[in-house]
Amino acid sequence: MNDGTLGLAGIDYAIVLLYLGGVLLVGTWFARWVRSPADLFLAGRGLPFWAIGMSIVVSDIGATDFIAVAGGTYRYGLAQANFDWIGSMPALLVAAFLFVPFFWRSGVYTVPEFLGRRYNEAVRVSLAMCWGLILVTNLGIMLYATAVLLRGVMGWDPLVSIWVTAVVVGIYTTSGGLAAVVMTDVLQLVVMFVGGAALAVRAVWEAGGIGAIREQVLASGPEYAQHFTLFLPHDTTTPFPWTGILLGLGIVLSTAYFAGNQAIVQRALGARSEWDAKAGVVLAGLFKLCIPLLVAVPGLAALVILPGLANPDDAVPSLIRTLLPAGLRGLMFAAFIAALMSSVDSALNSASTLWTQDVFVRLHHAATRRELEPRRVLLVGRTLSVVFLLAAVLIAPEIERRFSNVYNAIQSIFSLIQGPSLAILLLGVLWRRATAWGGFAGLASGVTLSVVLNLDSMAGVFHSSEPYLFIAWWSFVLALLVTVVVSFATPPEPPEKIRGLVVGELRRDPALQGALARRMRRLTAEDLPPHRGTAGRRSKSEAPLPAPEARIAMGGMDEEPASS
Amino acid sequence: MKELLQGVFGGFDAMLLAIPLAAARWILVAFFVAAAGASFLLPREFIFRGAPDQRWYRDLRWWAIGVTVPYVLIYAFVG
Repeated sequence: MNDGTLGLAGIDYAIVLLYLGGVLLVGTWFARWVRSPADLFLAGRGLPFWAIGMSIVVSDIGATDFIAVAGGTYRYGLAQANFDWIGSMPALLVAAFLFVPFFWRSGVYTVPEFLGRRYNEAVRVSLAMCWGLILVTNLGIMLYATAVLLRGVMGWDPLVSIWVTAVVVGIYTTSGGLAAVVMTDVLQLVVMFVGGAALAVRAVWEAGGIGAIREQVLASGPEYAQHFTLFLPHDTTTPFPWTGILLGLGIVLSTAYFAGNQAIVQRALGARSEWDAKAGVVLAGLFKLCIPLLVAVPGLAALVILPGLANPDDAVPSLIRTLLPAGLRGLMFAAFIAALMSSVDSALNSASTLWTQDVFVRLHHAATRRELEPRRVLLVGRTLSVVFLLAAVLIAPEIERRFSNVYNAIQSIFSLIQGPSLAILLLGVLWRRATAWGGFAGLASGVTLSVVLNLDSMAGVFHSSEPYLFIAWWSFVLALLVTVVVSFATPPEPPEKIRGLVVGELRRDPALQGALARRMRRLTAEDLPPHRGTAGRRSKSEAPLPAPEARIAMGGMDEEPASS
Repeated sequence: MKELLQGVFGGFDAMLLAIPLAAARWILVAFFVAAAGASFLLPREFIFRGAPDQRWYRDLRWWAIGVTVPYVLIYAFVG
């Protein structure tokens, strides 16, 4: 094929159709158990740890990662892999052992809901609206970027790609909810890993092995001298100086992503037990370890096999075209689609959860002083999923026109809010003295600084041309400082408000321990027998949810009043 | 405003530039080790809460060590 496309054969199309049919079948199969909001948004709290771990990783990897990470490795070297390595591991442990247990025990649907209990409704609603909008915008970016990618490698019309993806994902996400999303993610991870491994192994074999790749790349010239270095100097010309990698990525962005991004945390909230929630997040670290081997190694091998590519992003499509036989090309194409769908379905389900639980339900309660019936919440959640999907499809071309580089767009948008939200989350969980207005002021000041630093007039403030790592760091620092200062200037929160929401509370409070023990017994013995799969479970969520006021009074720990 | 921010960020940059790259790499390795090691400070009851039993292979502290070791090796010897 000389037109730049992959040139799929009949068997390749058969593999792709088989994959799409399988995903639809698995996804819609879970629709039969969706009868309440908790079933739709939290998979009836029945997810096992292995599915959570696999789903977290696959939600994080998009189709464009296959192309852009390999292209980045071709251009900058192994430092690109930091985004999957240091960009995940310490953060996943912090999320698993510090944040996830609190979220899971408190029975919340969303991270903003937890922050609403810890701080106030203003924090909850403003954060939920921001995250919801960011996820929908990200959805549009992912759809259009992948459609453009598929046009390049497959010759498909972008609009056809967008609509095919939207319809397939829309059907199983709106009908099967989080259970469908997570279980299709498991299937998608297998397809991605098999497809990615096929290309990586074939490329390394063709290049003569890892040792030969290293020798030849380092001998290619001084500009390749740091291609096998993960830690680059602070004054490097690449976007990955060690300072930004350690402070911006390792401390702020990765922790905010794995502990505060609804699209990631929601899987752990749907766990069948606290242990499964923690184990799933730790397990994700193991799968993340493999991602650079699948997406970055082909980029390095391409330097040997296809040196001098004008556009480094052509590395993977060219390798597929050059090295893979018919059948494996179809598998690799299915891996692209799997990566796209797994990210789109997660963003869609989470955006819908945020706007339903934290915005629509709260506004309805404020307007009518009545709780919305569970079946209506379910209807709203499904309707919002469809609305968000349509909005993402319609705004996708507009996003592409406004941003010259899709990756810059995604990172800039996320850097607006990740630092400030991590700061108030961290202080909220670790520091009893953090107050509602401290949290709100910290969030508002951090987001304001992020917005200001992203303005065109601020170009040159940082030496890096892509300063999102530094913007995330400084907005985190400012939000942290403002929260502390304003908290000291405002009266402390009453103990009953923060009960069960701050580290150390559980150990100090026997009544809270009793409440937790009852909750654990109910979850593991009565409703959700341990080690029963998601399929076939009967959800406790059919019972009406307790009034938010009652749950807040309990610090979110238990629906039953605990004697103190 | 821009000058003020440049002054603040520039001062911090100058401080970071004084740290040798090799030292920075070992700071990162220590960061990984501390994160995994800290899990052993957590009470056993917390680690197993919600687990069907308390067999050794469900001890998430060992999971944390097992998952972190490859990262430590990568940054210590490849980085």
